[in-house]
Amino acid sequence: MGIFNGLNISASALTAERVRMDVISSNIANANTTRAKLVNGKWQPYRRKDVELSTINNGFGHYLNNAMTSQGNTAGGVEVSKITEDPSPFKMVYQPNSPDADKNGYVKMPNVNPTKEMVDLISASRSYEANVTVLNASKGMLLKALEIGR
Amino acid sequence: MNPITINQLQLKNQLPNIKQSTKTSGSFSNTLSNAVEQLNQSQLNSQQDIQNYINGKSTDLHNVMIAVEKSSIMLQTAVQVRDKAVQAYQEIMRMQV
Repeated sequence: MGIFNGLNISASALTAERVRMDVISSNIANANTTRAKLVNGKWQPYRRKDVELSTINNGFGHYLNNAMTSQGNTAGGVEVSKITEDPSPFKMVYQPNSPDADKNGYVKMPNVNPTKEMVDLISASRSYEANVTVLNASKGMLLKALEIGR
Repeated sequence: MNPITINQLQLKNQLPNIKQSTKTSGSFSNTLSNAVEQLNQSQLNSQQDIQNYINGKSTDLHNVMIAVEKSSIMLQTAVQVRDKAVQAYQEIMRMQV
């Protein structure tokens, strides 16, 4: 709880948005990857990855501080708690000439939906911008405080 | 009254005293040198972050920028404190003897 608390919270959010962006770019890059994982001698296509975010609370010390100062719960920043795989089924595409085709000529393609990824991309990019705005506002407040009495 | 609550009350009353005693024990020069040391440390930290970024050790540009901003704000705070101290000194030197 220093004077830079606001900046630290925004910094954690920026880091989390960067991870989200990395995962989205991986999803889009692998939208046509049919050989991502080898399971029992057979190639499985790429599974879409998803980011799980959670609030940072610094464990016991955090709760003790809240109980002692009775200021109420000041929430902390955000962190990526887990990167999960999307369990939805793969797309089946008819490509009899492909080496990955099954006996009916169908190839399993990744369960990546490019439209959804683009929407997520815009969301991550705008969230990043919003957090930069918050960061600049907290910095502006600190600089304004230095002007008191000048 | 419950003994636990009495203990808590006593603890609460003692806490500010403990804090004050540690604050007043250091002399002015100690406090000043500690503050300058902290300022120097933040400058060194931001320098280290920039160096790590250039060398490819750290990958997050925003963390570098935030470290630089933090050290800049701390430096400006120190400048304000210095200005106030010098102003007070000059005010006293202007006294008629």
